[in-house]
Amino acid sequence: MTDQTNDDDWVLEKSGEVKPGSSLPGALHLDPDTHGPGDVPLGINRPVLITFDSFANGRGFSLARQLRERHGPSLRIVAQGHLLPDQARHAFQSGFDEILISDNALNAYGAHAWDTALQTAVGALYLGEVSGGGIWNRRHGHELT
Amino acid sequence: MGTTKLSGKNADRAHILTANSLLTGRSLYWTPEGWSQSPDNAIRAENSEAVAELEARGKAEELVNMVVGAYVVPLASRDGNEPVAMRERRRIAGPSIALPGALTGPASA
Amino acid sequence: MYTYDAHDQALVDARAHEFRDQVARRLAGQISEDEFKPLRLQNGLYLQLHAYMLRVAIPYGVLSADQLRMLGFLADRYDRGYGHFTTRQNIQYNWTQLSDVADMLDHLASVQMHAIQTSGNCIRNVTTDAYAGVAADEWIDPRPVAELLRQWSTLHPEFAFLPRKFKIAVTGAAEDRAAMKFHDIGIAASLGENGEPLFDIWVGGGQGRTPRVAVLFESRVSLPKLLPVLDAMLRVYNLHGRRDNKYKARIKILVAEMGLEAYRDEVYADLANRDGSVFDEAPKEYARIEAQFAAAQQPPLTPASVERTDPAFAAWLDENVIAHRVEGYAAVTISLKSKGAIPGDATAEQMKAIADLAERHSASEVRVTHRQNLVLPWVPQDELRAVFDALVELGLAEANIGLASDIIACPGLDYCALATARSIPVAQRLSIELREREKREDLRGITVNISGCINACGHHHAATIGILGLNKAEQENYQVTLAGRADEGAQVGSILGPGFDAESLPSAIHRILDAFQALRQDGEDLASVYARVGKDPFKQAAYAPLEQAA
Repeated sequence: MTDQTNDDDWVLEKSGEVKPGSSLPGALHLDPDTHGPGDVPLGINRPVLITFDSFANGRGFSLARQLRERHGPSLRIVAQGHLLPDQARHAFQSGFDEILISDNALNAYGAHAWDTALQTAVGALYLGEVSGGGIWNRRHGHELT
Repeated sequence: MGTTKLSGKNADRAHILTANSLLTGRSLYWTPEGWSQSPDNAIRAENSEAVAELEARGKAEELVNMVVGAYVVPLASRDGNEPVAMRERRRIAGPSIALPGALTGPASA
Repeated sequence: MYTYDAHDQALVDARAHEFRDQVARRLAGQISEDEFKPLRLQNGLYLQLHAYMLRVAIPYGVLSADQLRMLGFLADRYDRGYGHFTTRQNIQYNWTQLSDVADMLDHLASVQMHAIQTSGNCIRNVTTDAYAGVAADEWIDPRPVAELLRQWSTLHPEFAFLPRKFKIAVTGAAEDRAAMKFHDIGIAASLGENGEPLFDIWVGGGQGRTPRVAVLFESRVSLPKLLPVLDAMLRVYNLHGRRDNKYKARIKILVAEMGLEAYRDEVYADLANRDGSVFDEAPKEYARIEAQFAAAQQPPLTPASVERTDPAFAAWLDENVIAHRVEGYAAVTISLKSKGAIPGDATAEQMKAIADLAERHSASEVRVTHRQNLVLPWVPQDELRAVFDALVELGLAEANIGLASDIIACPGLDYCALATARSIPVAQRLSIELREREKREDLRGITVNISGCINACGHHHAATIGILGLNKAEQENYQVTLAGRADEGAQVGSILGPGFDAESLPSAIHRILDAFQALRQDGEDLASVYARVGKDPFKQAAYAPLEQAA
């Protein structure tokens, strides 16, 4: 629907807040169709930027998960490209830290679309993150977060 | 679904515009009075310019959230609005079977 | 059966609320149809030929009487008074309106039901044997692991945009009553030496354009390893499955193209590199679920002798009632394939009546079979006569379960936007004719399945006699396949030859059955005869009049 040529116009945080973006200097760009976790050296101290070429192509979610598992919380993983506001929760729950949004997308969906989608999205899933959370942890007494 | 290219055998056929209602999902046909559940009075496009107009109308109706999935349907003959495709004839006619709600209980079993 | 706690309830409530908001944004024009489509598909809402179709999930085919009553209520209030039970143990409403869906989801949530992931490129309803927990030959009840998998897969953020749909089935006995080997992942559960659950994982089965029987990925996987392995299997599929061609996007193609060993290597490499601690609570969760199912099992009763002098009752006992693992009970299958009925359809009145029967005679429990029938799984033997009499009153006592007239049919071109031919009228006519025939001769072991297009939702590849409806120059044309099997000896049927038109198809089927009867030795089934004599005798019989005319 939108031609997202300036993806870093805005940044969506996990809180739902949309802030003015800035380019990510030195970010390692990954294409989920061709790159894998092996393309990200351990101990890297630059952010990783994963592009979604289509909202139907969910490879980026698995790539982010793999990177989060291998690098832990210190790696900054950022999404850009064709993601619907309703996919923001998939991105954050898959390990992304931020989502870049272009001016076009912001105008097309409206500034509050992402916040609304995150607020109405189902928050509590059965499996938690490595850091904790999730329904199973709550049921069986492990509340680490 | 999607737009029909006027290629080969369809190029000589008249076409009508169909879509599904966004709210109800029912099949609809574009008539001079707007969308109708019946194709009987549907506007016929007899040449490729007219077909292009119909397709543009379909897109416009999608954009104002009246309908989804608008496309043009080739017709079987110069008279009447019966489509060539079995699928399109079925969309007009509805299911060919007596629906279960119409049965009246054990007596009909 | 499994009962929601506050967490499960909160999840379905939130999902219903989320979808209400998504519909509102669609109607307000804030999202386009292209963007809305994946969202509505994740919630089971299709656009079919005549209307929207809502596919409601019936997890592993288990329903309470109250839930079945609600399904009947929804049919009455929001649809045209009936629903359709599917080959994946779900129910479909054919006349849904978008403006009603949010209300329908709220009603469903009030009885612990939903339409989550019943369509779309995500993990679908996990199905199992409709006689789970009550079948006499069962090693282990497959429903606890099915429920565990339901929770694991529900709204899984990583696997909501897979290359294609993903179907999982579980079995717990030697006999496969869930067509497990025709699923993307099939799981055969059994018990280890210390009574611990063990799982054989099969991968790459499926029907559709390129039917395949699954291959064994790993055997005897322990419970703590099950979810990590499955998660890694899905991840490798999500990363490497083809997205360039819709017809080559299932995992069966990936495994075939990569090779099983390379696929396994990728899966285990992924596992080695991840912190599996998110799955640590899975065995405790499994135990919690298992305890619920165990608590719902009924206590044994004194076995009752059942009076068989009435031939109609005796026939029904023989075909529709199976032995139970708990003394004093029987499992009753209700045929939704009676006297030309639409296969798998039930009216709201029928649903309510069956719910009442379940409450009175089956511990308030009902099952949906993948052959589109319903089961009362807990009928005390001394109540069988009462159940039979009640079913006769309802016109639901046809004694044809598992017989040739117990036909599977997809909705086909009467309803479905993907169909190339109608399947229901063919099924109706064949069911009536075969019913007459099977009363006179032994057609045991013959299954007939009809699909209205190559997507094979009617499971025609897995039938003794499979029928595929195609479009030949805008005329319906039916191709016949033979000797498919859906059970543990899973096998894809073989195409017999050119298709038949609707008029000549039934007589072709009859000639195939005539050939079968003439060729069979010592009560062989059709698949065995076919294996012995090959295709030619059946082909000659099927096409004989056409050759005579030529």
